[in-house]
Amino acid sequence: MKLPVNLLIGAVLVALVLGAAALSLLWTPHDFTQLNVRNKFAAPDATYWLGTDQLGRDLVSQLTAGARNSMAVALAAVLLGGSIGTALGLLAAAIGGWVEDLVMRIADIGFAFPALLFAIMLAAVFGPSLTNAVLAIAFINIPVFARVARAAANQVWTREYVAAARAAGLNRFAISKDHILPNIAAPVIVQATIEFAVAILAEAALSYLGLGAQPPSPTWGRMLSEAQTLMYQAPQLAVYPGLCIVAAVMGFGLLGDGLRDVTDPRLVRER
Amino acid sequence: MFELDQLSVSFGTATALREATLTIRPGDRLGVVGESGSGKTMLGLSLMGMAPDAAQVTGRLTVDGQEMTGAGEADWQRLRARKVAMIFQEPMSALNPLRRVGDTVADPLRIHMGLSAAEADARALDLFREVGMPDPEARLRQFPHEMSGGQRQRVLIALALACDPALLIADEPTTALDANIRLRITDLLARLADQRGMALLFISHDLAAVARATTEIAVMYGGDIVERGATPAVLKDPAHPYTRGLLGARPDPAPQPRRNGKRPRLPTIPGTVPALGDLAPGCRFSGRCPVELAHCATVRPEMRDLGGRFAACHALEGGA
Ligand SMILES: Nc1ncnc2c1ncn2[C@@H]1O[C@H](COP(=O)(O)OP(=O)(O)O)[C@@H](O)[C@H]1O
Ligand code: SF4
Ligand SMILES: [Mg+2]
Repeated sequence: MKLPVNLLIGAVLVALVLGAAALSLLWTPHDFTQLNVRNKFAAPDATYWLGTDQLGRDLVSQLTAGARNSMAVALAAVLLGGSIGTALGLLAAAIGGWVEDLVMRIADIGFAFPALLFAIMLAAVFGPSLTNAVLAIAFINIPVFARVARAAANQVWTREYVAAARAAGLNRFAISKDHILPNIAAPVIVQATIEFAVAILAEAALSYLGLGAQPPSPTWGRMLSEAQTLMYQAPQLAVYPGLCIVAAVMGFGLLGDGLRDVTDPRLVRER
Repeated sequence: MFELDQLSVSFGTATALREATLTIRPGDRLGVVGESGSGKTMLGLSLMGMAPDAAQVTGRLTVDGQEMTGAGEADWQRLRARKVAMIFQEPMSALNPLRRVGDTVADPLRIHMGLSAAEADARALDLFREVGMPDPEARLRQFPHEMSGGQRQRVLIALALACDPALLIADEPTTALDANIRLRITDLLARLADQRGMALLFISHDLAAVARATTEIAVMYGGDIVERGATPAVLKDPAHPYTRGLLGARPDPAPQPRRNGKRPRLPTIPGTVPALGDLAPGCRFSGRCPVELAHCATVRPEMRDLGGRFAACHALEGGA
């Protein structure tokens, strides 16, 4: 089988970002919290590969630690929101009738509710924190996954093996768990990959607004916002985290698209 | 014991099953024959409480005296697998492609019989042996795509037998199979029914298979049961014009060869089955019937006792 280009590019970018994030758990070139005001705005050299920021901190170390942060937030948010959403979608499809309508109407409302607004509300009530950023991003994921899971589940419910499972006396919850869930895994995983990209962007936006991870833990979004006042003096401080965000978002986005192309032959034919 | 009294299944104006009245006693082996679209599957699904959501079901159905007319899904769940089980036509699509067949067979055992996972696995192995699965231990761990059509059908038979049902419904169990395996599956079902004292509702296009596997036969057309009786008697001396057409159109009692890659269909009777909504209110067969009378299209013929056998046809009503 010929692999689509978007899948390949996406996979490479994702591997780079995940690799950097994983590596930063074990090792960074320097301590990213280490201030060194005498060496601020250093140009790239053998010691500081991309130079240092306005407080003399090593940029490479901050960017890789930022990758770790981004991945952790996106992973937690997508897992949490994705599980709840998928469970709701499965339940809606299994029960049908007014329960299904109700769940989907609530999902529509959740869908229309801006994540940023929700994050600001959470921050206003509980204070800004990494946990609240995760919760806010997870929240917007619930309706997305509920829709995807329900649509896919409703298709699987029409299959003959589901009728055979019913004939064997399984109730709808057992059927949902043993027969529906494994057969909707593909579209749900594709969606998770795409939502991972959205979550990275959302995390960056929240951090940029100061609603995400708090100092000293570095994030791409906060690096960007701190660099903003220094745009004329040191534009590279904004460019590097910006590029990282673009690479990560594009990587997961392309990977998700590519996975969809290989797992859903119907869509490929429509192209 | 399954008792249907004037059971109908309709979709708006289209009646897929019309006032079916039928009793299935323990150990009965009843064949159901008729062209595609005559309502055979709908009859089977009704006995499982699995008529489509869109269908309106009227009439009465009792199972061992228990009123099941209008019963909910939860009530039916208690009966399925233990009182009545069904084998679906297409053995590939009736098995979850992502689930090991052993787990599929073990499911009802855990749920209905309260067996532990290990006990259910052991029982599934017994069932695989009983249905003649080659290399049963290894097969339990396989996925459907790793098996042949005949093996998959054996899995579905094992699944249906798991909780020792009083009635097994086999909906065209051999239609999707290769010709060389059909006879063996047919004989297996007949033997299992015999050994277990289980009633069998054998829905089939294949009259030779029905002759082998059943003792009684019901002929369906356009949602009606038009003739009933002992299998040999009905096949040897059909009373209803439709049954005669069905048998007469069959050139040769031997299994028919595949025609241009297609599986053999029921022999053809001149004309085609009209769309459900277009069926005459009287006898469904009017319009295609060679001996049609003037009032056939408007007046529905009653089921008549012809001495232990039954048929619904105006031409059989002396002088009427
Ligand atoms: N969901 C449905 N909606 C409308 N009509 C249906 C539906 N399911 C089955 N039917 C109709 O019911 C009739 C009987 O179908 P079926 O019992 O499957 O026939 P058979 O098994 O004898 O081929 C057919 O004419 C079919 O078109
Ligand atoms: S009732 Fe009339 S149309 Fe129907 S089978 Fe008998 S003769 Fe033919
Ligand atoms: Mg059918």
